[in-house]
Amino acid sequence: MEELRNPIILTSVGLYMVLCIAVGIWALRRTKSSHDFFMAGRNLGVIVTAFAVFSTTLSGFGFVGGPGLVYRMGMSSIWMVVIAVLGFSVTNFLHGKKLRLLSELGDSKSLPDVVFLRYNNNYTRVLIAIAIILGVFGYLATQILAMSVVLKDILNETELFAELTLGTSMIFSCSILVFYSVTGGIIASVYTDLIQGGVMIVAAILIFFTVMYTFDGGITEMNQVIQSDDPAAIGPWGTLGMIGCMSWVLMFGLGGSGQPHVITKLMMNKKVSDVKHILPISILGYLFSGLLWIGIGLVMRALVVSGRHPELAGADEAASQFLQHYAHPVLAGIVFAGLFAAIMSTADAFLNIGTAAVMHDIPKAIGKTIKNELQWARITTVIITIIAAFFAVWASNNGDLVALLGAFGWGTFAAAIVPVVTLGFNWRRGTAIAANVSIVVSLLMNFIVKIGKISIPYGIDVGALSMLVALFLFITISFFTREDKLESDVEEVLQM
Amino acid sequence: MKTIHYLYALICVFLLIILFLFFTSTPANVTGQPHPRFDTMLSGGDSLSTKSNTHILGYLFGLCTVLTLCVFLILGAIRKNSLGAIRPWLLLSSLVYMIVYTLTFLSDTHYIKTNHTHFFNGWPMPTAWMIFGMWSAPVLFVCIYVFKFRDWILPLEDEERFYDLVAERKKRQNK
Repeated sequence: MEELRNPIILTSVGLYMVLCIAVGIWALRRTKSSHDFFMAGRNLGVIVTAFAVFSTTLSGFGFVGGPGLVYRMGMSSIWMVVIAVLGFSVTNFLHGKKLRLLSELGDSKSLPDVVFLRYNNNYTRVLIAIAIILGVFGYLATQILAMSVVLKDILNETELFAELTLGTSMIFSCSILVFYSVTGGIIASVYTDLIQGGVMIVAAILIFFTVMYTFDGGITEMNQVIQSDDPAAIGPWGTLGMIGCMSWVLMFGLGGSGQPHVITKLMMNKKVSDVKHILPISILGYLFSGLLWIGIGLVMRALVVSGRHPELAGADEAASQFLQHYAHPVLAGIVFAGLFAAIMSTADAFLNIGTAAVMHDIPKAIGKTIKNELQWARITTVIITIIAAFFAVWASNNGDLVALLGAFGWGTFAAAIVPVVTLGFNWRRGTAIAANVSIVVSLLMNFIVKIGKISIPYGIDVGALSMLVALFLFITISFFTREDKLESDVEEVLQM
Repeated sequence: MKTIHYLYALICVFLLIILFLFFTSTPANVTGQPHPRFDTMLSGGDSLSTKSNTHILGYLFGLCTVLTLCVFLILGAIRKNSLGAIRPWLLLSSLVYMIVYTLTFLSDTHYIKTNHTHFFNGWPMPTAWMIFGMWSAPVLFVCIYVFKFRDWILPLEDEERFYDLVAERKKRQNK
């Protein structure tokens, strides 16, 4: 069976990509307007929305970066998984109703559309769109880079593609992504999310069982091995320490409600009351998938410190090394397909919100209406992918730029969007001027701290600090500025 | 005081704690140090628990985090400027979560003092509190949302009124 490892992995990844193309072709016939392209006609069922929410949240980070962090720091990053139950609850309590109602009331096609409806201010709409575009390029470029590197590594193991370059691998993987994102828009995106979520859950559960039996004494022996080397690593705060971990709790628990690629999914469900079912299903999906994150990271740390496995060349190799040496070839195939699923489900969501921001929100804010929005949305999707791919290649050759890209990730979205959307949609007194100031300050703060390499004590997350400052400014300025005049029906919905 | 005032006060306290942390002497390697044998790993540095001031500040920082999340959640449950019947259940769930967090913290302090010997279900005690307690305690919030959605989150009459508003808006736009 071992000699078939690479063919099995290639077949699994190939089958998964064929499925994505098939979904793209199927979704093409269901995408008749720009409303379908961006909002799936606000017609998604419970399971599809729930899977789209959790698989979009997880991204490639959960399959590569997550296990790598656990290997490197012990239990610290597991807080990002542990906080999921409360984090998803916060997102649903704050967005499941108001965001969904406002988006239907305004027949909105994007998050900035709903922000405009709430604040009645074009500057707020533009600023949110700009924050989304900055985040999209940063996030999308890193997802494209991860996708291309993984595909190149898999193909390089075969004789036929042993010399395949990163550029060729990028062209191939982006072509699949662009194909289904362009043909079927968000419909293709969410239905591929359904497949992607399913693959992730199966892969994670199987991996966790493999992890449990890697040591004869199971999880207890694995943890004792880690503890005997360094008690802090298996303690609740890992090596990062308590304050750093709790800042991640804030960042992922509250910051999750500010991720536009995730919360826009809550604008697409058919019935408002579906959110009560979406919440538990998305939590379960995320928790099962999180088992891979926890399991691989800990077991690789235990294997290395016990001398049963040589030290890894880099922490991010934890997942691939485990799959190569300890997982059954079929399981390795499923997990590699799951890895592509995780990366692509996030990348397609970013493509969609980025396209909406460029092609719909900014023109609308400056008073322009684009004719034949659907056709232009498709063209814009291709252009954004090409720019992001070039950006990814450039970033991979430039360390500073990688840091810059990182600055506009999860933390930037959280700091810019949580005050304006999460709080503002649930607190009528929040004003447009406060929203605009908090967005600008949060973007600048993230950028300056990251680029200036300013050290924050105790490992406090930059995004968490920016989010707190932005929240403070939003509430303070709102208290001292005059309440905005809103349409009467918007007022009524905000009270519901 | 309204919920937003509690949130505002909490954020102010949070920022003050962070400001204070900027000016306290940081324990050596508090965010980890290079592992003595493996370059790709970190090992734990001085724990916050070794110094009384950082020990308390660490606890307060975590408590503020937990409280902020709970207050946000409560804010999301307000309808027509009131929490109504959901209030005691949300407060109770928040209290349970804070207690579990406190027990995790206390268990970690004990873990460091007693040479790390107690295990529960394969995990050291404080980690078991984190895995089984912190992970599962917010299920109470999920239950409230799922089972009392029509009573406390979006009653049927609110939904019907909403669809009236949508119809009125469409009518206005078509004129």
